[in-house]
Amino acid sequence: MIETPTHTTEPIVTGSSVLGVQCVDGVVLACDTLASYGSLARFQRITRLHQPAPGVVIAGGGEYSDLQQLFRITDNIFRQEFCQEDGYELSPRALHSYLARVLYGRRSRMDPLYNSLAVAGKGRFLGCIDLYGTAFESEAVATGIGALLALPLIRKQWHAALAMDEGVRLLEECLRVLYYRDCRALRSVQVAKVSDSGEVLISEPYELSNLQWKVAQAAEEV
Amino acid sequence: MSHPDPGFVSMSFDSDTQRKIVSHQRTWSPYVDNGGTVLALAGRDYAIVAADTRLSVGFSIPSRNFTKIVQLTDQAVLASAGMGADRQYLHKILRSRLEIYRYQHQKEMSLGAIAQLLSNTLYSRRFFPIYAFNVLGGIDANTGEGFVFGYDAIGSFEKVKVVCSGSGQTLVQPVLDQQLAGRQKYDVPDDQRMASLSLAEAIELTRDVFNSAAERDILTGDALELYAVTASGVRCERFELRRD
Amino acid sequence: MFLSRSEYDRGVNTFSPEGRLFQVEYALEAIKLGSTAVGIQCADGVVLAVEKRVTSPLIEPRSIEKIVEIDTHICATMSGLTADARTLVQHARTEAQNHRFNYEEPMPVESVAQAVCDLALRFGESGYGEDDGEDEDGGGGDGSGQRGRNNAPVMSRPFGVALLLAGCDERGPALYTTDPSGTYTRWLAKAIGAGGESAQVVLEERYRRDLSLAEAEAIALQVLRQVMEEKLGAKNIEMARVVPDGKSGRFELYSMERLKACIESMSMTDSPR
Repeated sequence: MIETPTHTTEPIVTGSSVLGVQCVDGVVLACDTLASYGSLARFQRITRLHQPAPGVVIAGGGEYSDLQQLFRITDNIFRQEFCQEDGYELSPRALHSYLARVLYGRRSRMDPLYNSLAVAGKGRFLGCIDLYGTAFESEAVATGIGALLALPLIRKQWHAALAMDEGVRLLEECLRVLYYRDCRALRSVQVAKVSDSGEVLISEPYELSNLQWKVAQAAEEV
Repeated sequence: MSHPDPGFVSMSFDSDTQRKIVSHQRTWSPYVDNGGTVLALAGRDYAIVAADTRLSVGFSIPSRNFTKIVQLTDQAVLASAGMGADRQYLHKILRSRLEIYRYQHQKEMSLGAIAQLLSNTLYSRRFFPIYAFNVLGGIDANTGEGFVFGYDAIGSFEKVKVVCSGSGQTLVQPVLDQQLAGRQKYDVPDDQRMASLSLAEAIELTRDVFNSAAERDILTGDALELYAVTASGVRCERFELRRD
Repeated sequence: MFLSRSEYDRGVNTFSPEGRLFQVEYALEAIKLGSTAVGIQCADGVVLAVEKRVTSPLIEPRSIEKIVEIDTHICATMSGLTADARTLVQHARTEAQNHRFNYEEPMPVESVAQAVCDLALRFGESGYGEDDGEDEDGGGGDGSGQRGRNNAPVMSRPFGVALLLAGCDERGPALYTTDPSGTYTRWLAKAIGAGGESAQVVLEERYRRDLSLAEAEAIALQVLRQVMEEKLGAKNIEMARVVPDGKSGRFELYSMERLKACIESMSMTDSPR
């Protein structure tokens, strides 16, 4: 008898890095709009950013179908909370903790949700979760190849007085670096800004500008 | 009593899940080693529990400020090295078990009781271990004497005076042995030597061994969190370690 | 549909319009038919003394066991349907051992009383087995067969028995009663059973906080002698005490010889009337 797999232990359609940085007046998240099928740039205009409720944005990489399910799960718990009508709302920190439990629970059942997530929210919240359920808060977050290429750059540029606009420019610079070097990255990107008070601004997809490919030529000449 | 019985509660796996554990271990592992070093040391009237704050995944450092320590009571502090997610899970359930115990028996759980509970909790997952290497330190509520317990991942434990676990264990433990329990070098018996070590000296030693571990172990570094447990309560200190 | 008044005492889980659970109240009455048991707590321990109804000279008195050990630091005696007590005692013993297994320490006396009372109200249709919803995996590894077996209700009616629990823990000696309503109460001195009410009056007269263990023994025996129908002797009573032992206690059941000696010294200290 051939057993049908009911669980994902290797990703099929994947998103690449997610970046996040905490600023003095809010939090910025950024990622590209690509979902790859292996090395094929399969879906080029999908969004990996999601706003489940006012003042909260999550972004994820890894298996895209699992990411969509996580977005649904997140929508559901916010909907349930909303329907209570008790004036209480789920904080970004609570969502971060909840998602960590979800991911940990799935890995413990040997059926992981193959994602790494960044959670941003009002009150300058920025957290990160991986597919094992490891969760932490940090002033700079980068997943996937971004953890290798972008995180050092963000950490180097980061300072306590960083404004959100500077944060956007910093993350754009990182996305540019990733586009140069990450074969699963795309030029089309999205940025989300969550202000301290909870105003959310998710940009439409746009193309990275000022790309410098002369470097590549220089490298070839050597 | 209709409460979850701490020693027995475990994730129970149906045969389907068990098959997945067996058949998929080769392709995907539910474990990841996040590194880090933890240490516990007991003196006559104090205990020290210390850990670095680095979270590593392979050669990357996703976080430089990820605590490995949880204060369980005014007399007991736990530090765990190993896998970050399992550690968070373990600390969470232990905190809730302590809360339930407090409601049920109207008292704080003693250090010895926590030690046994932790062992049972780890052993209840004997066949899907919690990937955490624990050191538990604290003082006896009655005598005020410091004690520490060292564990393996499945619940074997030992009451000792000083113990170190995690990625820097092989670097740190021999130094501790030589400094604190050396049999050849010192004329004084072991227990007297430990008893004569003051809290300030112990903190200095702890800082030294962590700085040493951070020199050579790439999984240890960034910062040292140090909890000092005395009769007057728990004090937390933080020292920087090298970040490369 | 309304039930007629007399029907409210049928269902064990049906309140009467006045807010009473008749079956529980009747169970409380069953205790008042039981043999008398006395417990006295003092600074250096707790004493239990209980009447054994040896209704025929052909009964082997030693086969009637009225004082039982829960753990090395806790013992219990009962009044009412003593057979029902076996279930409660078994539960208390299991909980006490579980506590030792989980925490490597003796279980506090109050927690044992609470454990007994948790079981006391598990009767009727909704009263389920000892470990429903508790451990998911019986600890011993074999989690399979156990659940189905224990999912049946343990009791169809309230337990018709009251317990006197005596023990010593880190807070010192303690004496508790538990009853069929699932209530537990701590006492300095308490008598339950047929002679309970009159015995309690005597206890209230004679109790002092500075009683020694020997004095408490004597008072317990005197009280028992007053309320017993038969002549008090070593063969128709049972006695035990729990004395502090570090942060825990030590249970001692009195032997026949020791009982005789106690009765003798009690008679000597008797105030002549």
